[in-house]
Amino acid sequence: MSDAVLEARELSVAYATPAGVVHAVRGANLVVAAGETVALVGESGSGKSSLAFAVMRALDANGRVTHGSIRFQGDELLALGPAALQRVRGTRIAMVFQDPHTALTPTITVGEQVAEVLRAHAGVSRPKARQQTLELFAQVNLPDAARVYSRYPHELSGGQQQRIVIAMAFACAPELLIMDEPTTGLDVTTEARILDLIAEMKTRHRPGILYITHNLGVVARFCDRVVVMYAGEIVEEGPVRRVFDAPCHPYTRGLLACLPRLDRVKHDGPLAAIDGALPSLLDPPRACVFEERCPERRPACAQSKPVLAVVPEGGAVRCLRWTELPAFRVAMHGKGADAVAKETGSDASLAPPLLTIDDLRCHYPVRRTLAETLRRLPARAVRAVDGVSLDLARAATLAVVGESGCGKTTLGRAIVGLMAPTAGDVRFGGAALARLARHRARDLRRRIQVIFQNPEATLNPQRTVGQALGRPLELFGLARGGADRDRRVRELLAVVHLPPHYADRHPHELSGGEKQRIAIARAFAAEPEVIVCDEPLSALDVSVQAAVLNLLVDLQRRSATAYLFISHDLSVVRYVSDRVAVMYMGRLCEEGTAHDVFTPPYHPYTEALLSAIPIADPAVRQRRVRLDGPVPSAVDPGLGCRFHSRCPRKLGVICETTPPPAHVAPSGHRIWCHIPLDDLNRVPPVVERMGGAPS
Amino acid sequence: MAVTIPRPAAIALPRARRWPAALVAGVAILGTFAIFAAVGPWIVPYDVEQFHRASALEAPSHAFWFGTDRYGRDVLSRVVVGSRSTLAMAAAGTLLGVTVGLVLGLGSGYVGGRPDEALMRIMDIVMSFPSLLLALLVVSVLGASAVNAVLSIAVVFVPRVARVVRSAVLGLRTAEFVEAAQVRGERGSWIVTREILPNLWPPIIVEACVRMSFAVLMSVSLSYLGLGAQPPTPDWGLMVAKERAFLVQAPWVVLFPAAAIVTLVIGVNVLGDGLREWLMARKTADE
Amino acid sequence: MTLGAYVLRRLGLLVLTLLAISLLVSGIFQLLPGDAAEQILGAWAERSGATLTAMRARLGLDRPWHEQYLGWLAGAVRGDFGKSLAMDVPIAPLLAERLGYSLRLAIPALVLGVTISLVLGVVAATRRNGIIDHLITVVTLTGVSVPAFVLGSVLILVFAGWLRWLPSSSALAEGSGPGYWARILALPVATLTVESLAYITRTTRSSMIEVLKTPYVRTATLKGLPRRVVLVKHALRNGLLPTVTVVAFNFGWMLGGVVVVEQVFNYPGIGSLVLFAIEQRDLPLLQASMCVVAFAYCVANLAADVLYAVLNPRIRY
Repeated sequence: MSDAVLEARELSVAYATPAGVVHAVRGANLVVAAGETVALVGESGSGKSSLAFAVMRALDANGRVTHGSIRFQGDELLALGPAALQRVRGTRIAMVFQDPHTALTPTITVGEQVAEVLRAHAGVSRPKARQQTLELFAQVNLPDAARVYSRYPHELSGGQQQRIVIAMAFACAPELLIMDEPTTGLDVTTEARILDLIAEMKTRHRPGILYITHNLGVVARFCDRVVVMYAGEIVEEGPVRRVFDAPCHPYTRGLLACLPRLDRVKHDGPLAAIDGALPSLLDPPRACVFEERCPERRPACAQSKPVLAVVPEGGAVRCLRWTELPAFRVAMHGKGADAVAKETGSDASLAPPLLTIDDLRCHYPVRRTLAETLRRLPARAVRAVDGVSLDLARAATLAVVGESGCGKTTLGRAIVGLMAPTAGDVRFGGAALARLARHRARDLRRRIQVIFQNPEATLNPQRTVGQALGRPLELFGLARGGADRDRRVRELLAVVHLPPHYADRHPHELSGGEKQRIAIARAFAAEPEVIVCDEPLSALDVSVQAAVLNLLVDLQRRSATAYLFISHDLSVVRYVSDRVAVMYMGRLCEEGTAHDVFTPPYHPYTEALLSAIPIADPAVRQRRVRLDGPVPSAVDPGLGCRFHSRCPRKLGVICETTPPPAHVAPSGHRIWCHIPLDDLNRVPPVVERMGGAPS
Repeated sequence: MAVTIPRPAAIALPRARRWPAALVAGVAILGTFAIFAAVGPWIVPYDVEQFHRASALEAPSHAFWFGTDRYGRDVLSRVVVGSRSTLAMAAAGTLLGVTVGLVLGLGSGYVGGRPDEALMRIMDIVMSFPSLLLALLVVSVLGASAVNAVLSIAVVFVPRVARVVRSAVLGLRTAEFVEAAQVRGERGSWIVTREILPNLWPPIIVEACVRMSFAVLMSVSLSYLGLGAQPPTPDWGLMVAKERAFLVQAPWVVLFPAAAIVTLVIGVNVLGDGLREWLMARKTADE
Repeated sequence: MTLGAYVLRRLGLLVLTLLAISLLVSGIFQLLPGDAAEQILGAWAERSGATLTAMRARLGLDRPWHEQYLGWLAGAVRGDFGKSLAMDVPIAPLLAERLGYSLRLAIPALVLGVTISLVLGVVAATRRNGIIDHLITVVTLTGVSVPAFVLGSVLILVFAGWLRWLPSSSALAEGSGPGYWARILALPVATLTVESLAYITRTTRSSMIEVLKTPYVRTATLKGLPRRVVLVKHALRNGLLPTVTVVAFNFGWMLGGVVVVEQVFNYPGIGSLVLFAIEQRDLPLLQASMCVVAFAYCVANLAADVLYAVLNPRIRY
């Protein structure tokens, strides 16, 4: 282990809380060699962040390292005094955090925040520090470095802020870099570019990197080794290729199996979810930590704690039965004729659509400055939704996909009546809907429901689950009297797989996944025909996402409810939807069946999106298409194609001046682009499995 | 540096929350004064109006525990009964101010738009008077009396409470559970009373406590200036004002009512801190 | 918007606010039963209707209200607030003199109070839950719980009554020069300082505690910057933002609370003028002095808002 940059032995971290002592990390052994990138993977509650903070000696006031040692280049970190610690931080060990806009001090210019690191550690003079900072900005691909230098954090985009944080981290060429979810919260295309940047800086400076994430796709992209944590313990570790191809621990297998991938759809069957919930960290299990939820458990697993066993192909695993487990295979998408037919089958229905969106426009007026009012300039507007027409068929799922600012959330809100559109219609069953929900007839309100993104805010903290579920029943006259209502509430709880006594609980007693199930139950309580799902899975852990997704699919099958599924996660969209619409800056780029959208011909934006998603499968080859340039302002965007400023396939001036025509294929697949359809057809698929068929 | 502490689904928070020490202390102090206010006249050794001319300005002794004032009235009795005047004025003023402020803040915050802006401008103008001066203004218009002191306290509080309530409402108005109610088509009044208001009680209660401490200080100050409680009512502020001339030679006449004032205000402040800890504890435990 | 545009906008609001205030004050007095004429004539008013009418005409009280107000406003802009009814002297010079005396109290108290509070607040926040922090918490808790007149009385008792170092009354008498003023002002300034100290320290402490928990302060620490730099450069500038607001509020409180302090110490400032005007029902005097005090408070708030915008670039953006 002599070239180990970081070596943690039997590390244990605990927090003192009002409820008791939380044992966040127990007996962790971790090694990062020089130039190696080690991914630390786990869901919330796994202890990965605690471990990272322990290494930086940055635990919260109520946290302690209760046991073990952390060696950095052979020196014991836990024994360093404050002065020595200060010399190590920023120079030899640097950290990059999750939320760049909170990591930067709002009242100091970004250039200064980088320069001060150089001055503090390298003893560099002011002008020299400024020059080195500008060089760093060039390295991280920040255009117009001199102007950016004197900007404040809030004046920059998320991607730019994260580049600055990365520049700050690399400023003194650290030997160890700890990155805690640096791309969570960024758009997919921005994330792809930041990941490229990290890969580039990696090869240039060669630090050891400890990369913390919950996203297995990112791990597959550029990490060398992966360490999997569950409920405070390391359950498996090894080279990335081995762990992904042949995972040994049931939890790792469960994680890999429950991920929606671009090659799985709902007709293939439910995702393999992991049952149960995290054990209590106040009183961690004395035997195998995963035993309660393990599909492969035996009585012996509950009695003794498994030791870390060495895996011959590389790494180690903590499981009693790992040698007895069957070979790992992820269920793949059936490619036979009837599978394809099932996918496109729902399209054959000739019934009129249930919900029609007709040339919808939602414009927000921009506040005029005094100068503009005086000069009598016309008021400008943010064109959040600018002419969208879509159909939603009965019992089908239409996904609306796009990145932040594309208008998909505004579209959803206009449909359910939370905001009034500026022009255009939403028609339900043929008749136009009133713009705001409270002006619609009661029965129409019942038939269109919504599920929101944030489980923490979706339920009223002061009301019990029973009250929350009972209210739609009361309001829409679906229950006759108190007893009938209580019975139906219990039925609803059973439908979402929650026990009946949950009716008396308050939201703060539930986990995120449970709250989201209640939100789903509340939507279904009204017996709707359409549910608008606004990013319902984004705030949930990966294993919980799979279970909730299965629930949504199952409920749709049973109640023939249509979903308008708004999301930015293309893998989930591929799994769950029948038709997909891709939005960019208020307009549609492409719309068709899921199969059509995810295979060539693509709109150039769809192509870029597909190439940006991190895919949790090292055996997949993914073409690299990156978008250059900033996202343009949504205020008065002009006549041409919205995507022209960033399009890698831009034809020329025509893209700036003329709105793109729609190419319509016989299957109903529409692409809005100036590029002729034949050329688009010749574009190879973005994602391909090595050795054969495209996904 | 807050690191999220994981909350496994299996844990349900224990129903009985720990009572913060501040809460207990605050309740104890306030409770004591409330008892004095309620049954004061019946538990004190002497009648508050009775002069004992022979023992005027006597230092604390076995007969008169807190000594006597210039007319020979027992200071202890007057201090105990004096809690009635101060507590009543402060509580009434707080209640009135918080209620009106709550209604205004709720309505303004939920409705939004022009009416909200207009109302907030008016509140800003009222708040541009320093509070004591505004109270003086109101009292000067209405005349000096305890009731008018209550009204003036209420007038000072309304804009401040309205602002606090309004900002809490604004925060809640965009919460998803409120939007879910809007999608259901619930009426505005239903949303305000059944979805928003139940979530406002913790900050309102804490704010009311803070207001109460100001109310005590203001009512005592107004009485000191002669614009609140009128003689011969035993009132702490009045007592300090009237006996000012004897401050040096008979300090007990001023010091005991002063100590009572300070104790009550400390009690209310400590109660406010305790309430804040207790009511907001639920939030931090399940983050 | 730029800083300049922001300041201009706030100035515009200030003027509007002042107009509204003067309207409010003037309007309130219209509600009073009886008027200045009755006030002056007192018992005579009942006897003779003619005398009352004549007095009213002389004071201009028979004109419609808006004319009265506009007339007053025109005069106020020129600096002429009319004459005091009770004392029969022009108001403006009287106001100026008294305001000057009050500022001699308020400004030293503010400066002292703010300086000491900042230090105490930052110390308490950085040594959180230590002995010093608890001590400061106890002292500030007492500070906000003791009304000004109590504190003033106690100070008089101790320093004038027992120790006899300072006079027990600050009524102006013969004497001038800094030494004289120092002795006169010592106790009242001390009272005001302690009162405002408590509030500002509490606010500074709690906002510094919040700031020290933020991710950006954590980042600054983890960048390996010296503790002093983290504290002063990164934390303080943000932590002091609420303090700026509280200081403005405190200045306004002082202008109000100064009434009580002036009573306790017999100091001839603007507060006692207001009290006098109330007791005497001297409406012109009351109207003018209220407006001037409110004006001072608004200006203090404006200064605080501008300082806030200077410290916090996000506001201007």
